[in-house]
Amino acid sequence: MIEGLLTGFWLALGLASIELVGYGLLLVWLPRASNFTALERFALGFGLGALVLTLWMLGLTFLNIDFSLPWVLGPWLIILNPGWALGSRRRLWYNDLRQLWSTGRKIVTLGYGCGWTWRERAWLILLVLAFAFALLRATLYPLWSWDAVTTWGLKAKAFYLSRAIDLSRFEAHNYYPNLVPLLMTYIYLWLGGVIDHLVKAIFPLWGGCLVLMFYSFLRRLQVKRPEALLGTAFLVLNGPTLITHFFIAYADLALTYYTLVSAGLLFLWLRGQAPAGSLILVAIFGGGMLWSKYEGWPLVMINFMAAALTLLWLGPSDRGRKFAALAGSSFLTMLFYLPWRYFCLTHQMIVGADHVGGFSPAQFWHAIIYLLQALFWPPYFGLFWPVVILAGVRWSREALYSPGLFLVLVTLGNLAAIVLAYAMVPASVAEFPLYMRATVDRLLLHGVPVSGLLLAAPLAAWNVSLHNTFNYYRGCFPRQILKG
Amino acid sequence: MVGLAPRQNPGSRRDWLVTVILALWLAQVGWLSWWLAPEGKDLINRLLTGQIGAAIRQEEPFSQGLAEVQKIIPPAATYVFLDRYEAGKENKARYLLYPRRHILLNPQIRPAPLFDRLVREQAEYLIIRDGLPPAARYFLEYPNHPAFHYLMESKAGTVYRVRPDLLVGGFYD
Repeated sequence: MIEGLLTGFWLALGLASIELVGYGLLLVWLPRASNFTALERFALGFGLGALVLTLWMLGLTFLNIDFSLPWVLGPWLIILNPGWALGSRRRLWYNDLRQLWSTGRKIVTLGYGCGWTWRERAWLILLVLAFAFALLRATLYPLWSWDAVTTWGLKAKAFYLSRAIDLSRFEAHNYYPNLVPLLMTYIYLWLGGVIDHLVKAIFPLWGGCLVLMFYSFLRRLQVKRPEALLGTAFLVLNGPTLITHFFIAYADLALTYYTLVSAGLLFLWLRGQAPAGSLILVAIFGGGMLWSKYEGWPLVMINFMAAALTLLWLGPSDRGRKFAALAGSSFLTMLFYLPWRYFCLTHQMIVGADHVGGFSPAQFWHAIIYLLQALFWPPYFGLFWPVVILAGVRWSREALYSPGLFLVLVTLGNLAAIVLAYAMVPASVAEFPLYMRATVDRLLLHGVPVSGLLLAAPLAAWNVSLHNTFNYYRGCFPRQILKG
Repeated sequence: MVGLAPRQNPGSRRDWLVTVILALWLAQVGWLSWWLAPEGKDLINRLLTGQIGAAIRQEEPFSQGLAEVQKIIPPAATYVFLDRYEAGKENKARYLLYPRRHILLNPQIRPAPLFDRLVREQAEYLIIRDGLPPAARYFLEYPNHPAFHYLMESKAGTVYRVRPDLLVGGFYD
């Protein structure tokens, strides 16, 4: 009993340390003018902490230093010690703590005594139930799902036992980026062993951060609290795909989270609503996409290309400055991939050979048909895609002349990339349908929350006229950004 | 949520669409709850009985077998596992038996390439998951083959100790 409590304590401390590192860095890095809320800083902090700790673990491997808590966490604690870095932002984190406490209390009490309507409480209850289920499902059961056992969990176990990135004893897509296995290794260091059911607590927590960011983006896009809660519940409880990824220890959840943050902040930047320092975060979280999964590459490129095309189409007067800023951000993103690329080169690892083959027209057409089926087949994403497509079509005219175009382009770009990837995958005629069936939900998942931001317009327009809905798209960003 | 706006026109087509979408979505939430219900029931049961974590894995015969195999194969050893990847067993063996070095070969492999790999990889153990694949017959028909020593029949498969130094070249089917 006491041993179990102690293990739980170390797990909580390990997870809290990831948050502390990320949150601390955000406080130190972000300009004082940056108006991120406490909730956003909390949700961003976990992703940033996971990214820097795991990249640092890769650095330790380069330096031939074995993984240990003092080496992995120690330097960050020294940098962020309250007497210096965090001390200079004492008022900020004190206020954040108070706000987070207040928000946490509202969630725990399900909004009672806070003036919430029954509808708000209903959406909140649905979300709380979903996360309670995911948390228990994650932490009571051992690693079981295919890729968790085959790739991510295996690597985490190997890295923990060898205290380094040692890929010499197995072949499991060894060129894949290692954010998730290294993060699991980090928690194993706290737990003192390979306890593969407790380590999965990472995933519901990460899912929670994703959902908080989605909610925050909706709120920043002028959606009122009741509708933002409804939109968030609509995202989480639509088919079993997203909720399953809250507990199965796949890297897809991490990629989905980083994609949402990176694309969401880019969208706010295009609208002229992004908090100060957002473009740097776009780059850093873009780096998280690259470091989470091999599929991060095309998604990062789609994000930046969609932003560039949106700027080109809307033609704002300061487009030169904006293009330069965008180019700088994309360049910074690419830097995040260099350390792992260098590792692959020095270890003679061939990248992508098992996933990229020649273009097959037969597979291309088959992929289009199967993708369309997957979009509308409720057991994947429920009503999510049909409603998002309806929203996109309904407001396409307005979106075409506003930064909303970015979301449309990202959504179409993701779908096109999936089809193209399937057209180029080296698979036999017999195994191709099986391959698609096993992976299409995951590939679609990466773009789900970003595409879900298309729902912000109808949700924001819940209580306003259609005319104002048009203004919603056009407003909130500099007027000169519009062509017409 | 396409039709959520505006609400100033009660009874309009948009309100009708909102209602339909919300109703469908709530029905879908009901379906999702029904879909997850067996897992939820199992989860509550496990919470009450305390049968969690590694104990759950040990309920599965294949994992029980791997736990037995784990005791006889030293951590530094290399083993060849004969199975089909698609069966979904080999990846569990690789995960649970790590840090033992794992080499997967198709059960249909012919004796010559099998022996060649055993020699090249210096594999000291051989695990055959699926009954008696063709390649296995070769040495099972010769029980006194000095390179193979039958160790055990576990729920994970049949385990042999291999002496690759006794498998001297010239492999021809």
